[in-house]
Amino acid sequence: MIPASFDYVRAGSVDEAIGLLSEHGEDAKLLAGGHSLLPLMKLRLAQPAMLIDIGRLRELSYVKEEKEYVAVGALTRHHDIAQSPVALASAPVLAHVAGQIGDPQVRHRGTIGGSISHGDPASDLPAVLLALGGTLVVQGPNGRREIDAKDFFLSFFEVALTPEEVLVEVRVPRSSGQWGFEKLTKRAQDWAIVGAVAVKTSDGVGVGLINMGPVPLRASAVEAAVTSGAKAIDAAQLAGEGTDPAADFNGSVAYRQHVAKVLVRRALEKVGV
Amino acid sequence: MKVDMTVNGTPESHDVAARTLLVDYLRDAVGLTGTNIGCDTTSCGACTVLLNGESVKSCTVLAAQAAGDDITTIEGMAHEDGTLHPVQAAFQECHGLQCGYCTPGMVMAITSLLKENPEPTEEDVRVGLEGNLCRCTGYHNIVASALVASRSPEMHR
Amino acid sequence: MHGGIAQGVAQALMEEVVYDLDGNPLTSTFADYSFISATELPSFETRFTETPTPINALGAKGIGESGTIGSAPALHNAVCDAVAHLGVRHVDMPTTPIRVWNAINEAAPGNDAGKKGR
Repeated sequence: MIPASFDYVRAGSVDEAIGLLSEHGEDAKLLAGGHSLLPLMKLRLAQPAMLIDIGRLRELSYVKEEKEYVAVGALTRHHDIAQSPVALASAPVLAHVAGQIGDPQVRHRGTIGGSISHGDPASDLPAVLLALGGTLVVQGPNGRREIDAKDFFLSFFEVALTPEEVLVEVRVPRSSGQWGFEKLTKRAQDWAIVGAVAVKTSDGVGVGLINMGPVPLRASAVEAAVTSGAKAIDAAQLAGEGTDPAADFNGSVAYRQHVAKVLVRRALEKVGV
Repeated sequence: MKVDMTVNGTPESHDVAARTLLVDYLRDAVGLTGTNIGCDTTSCGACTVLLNGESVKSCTVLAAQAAGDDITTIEGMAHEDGTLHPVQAAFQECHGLQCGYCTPGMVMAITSLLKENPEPTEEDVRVGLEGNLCRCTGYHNIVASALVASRSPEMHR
Repeated sequence: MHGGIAQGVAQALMEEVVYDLDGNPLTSTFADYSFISATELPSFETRFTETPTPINALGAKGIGESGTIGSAPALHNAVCDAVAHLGVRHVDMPTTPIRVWNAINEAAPGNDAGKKGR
């Protein structure tokens, strides 16, 4: 399978990429590792007229420890996050989940920025970002702005980036405490049928859900129950609240909501709830 | 567009369409057909090559993305005198293949895996091969091949 | 043998060609068709038994994919046995998570539909 024709240009800097995006508008797409975009293009589900390759912007590949948060460059590959000593020490749930995405070959190419800006509700990393209460730093023609992870995922495959903006950094609060990550798949390399992540944060316990609606979700009802002192088994009963999962041959709506409760309970138990 | 890269140590320069996938560049432009196209959907791993020493699925990388990079395919594994690379030799010793279609990808994936984890357990190998599918062998002898290769002195130099 | 065992296991647990109600294939790539991988499988221990046939002079028999023939029912029976205490008498192949869950629900006390067995 070969994608439809497009023009390819390699951007030498973030500013150059923003300039190209401004010039070409919605016809242009950013290309990082390409492991979300290229499969869609090969199936002709996406046919951008221009690809702006930002994959070589090494200055956007890093995991750094700041005073209150861990900063991850948008072009940091899943493999590098999984191996990063900084991530392992100060954002261990992020390192672990990055190491569970797809397979080794995918993790050698896929990037955190690509995965998050793709906005796929079945992706693992957005749920982690929501559970941790992360922030996204985006850069456009008028400079940089920060977007709360909870305001980033708008609808099915739609995120809060304007057509000329580039996601440059992902920030997560430092969290060396306990966490739990549970993903139900038929095979190791598969996307999650349902997934759940729980993290102990300074504000309490954050809980994120994978593939439980058109967007990555935060299990707010579960979080509130935990804050009020509910045990894992009781709080997890609320995991289906506010969800709107798809039904397919891997699971009905009722099945996914059942699995969400089971996985949320297991994840909560791992953080000592 | 002109796409230059190094393939098995040899500089290559070919004029290809922007939408050319790395696997098609290797097979059609360079003429190295050892890298197979299997599923074409990033699932099966038959097209696995090393990009700057790390395993990637060449059906999901544009040739243009790899411009300037160092690619190793199955043809670049054996020594010049024909001596097999330790992973290839282990496949021969352990009968690690039947039809052979997945084998080039398996060899490349295992080579990358052993570089990252030189002393893997059986479990490490099984998890490390999650992205490479084989219909014939049931994986038993492929996993054995990876473990035998990991004990080769050449892999630890 | 090894490959046959793996294929039988895969047929029992996950591999299936699925169509929608209009006949469109839903498992047209290996992203959707659950082709089993090394991660889901263990290593195997094989033993040989020799029982020559009296029908011909050599005692030889045809033996095609004997691993497949045995492994699929073995796995399927194991899944059924694992949920038998919940009243489940049958699960369609492949015994995917959703099918097992549905079978448990159908067999649940108070659900008469599940009590018929097959």
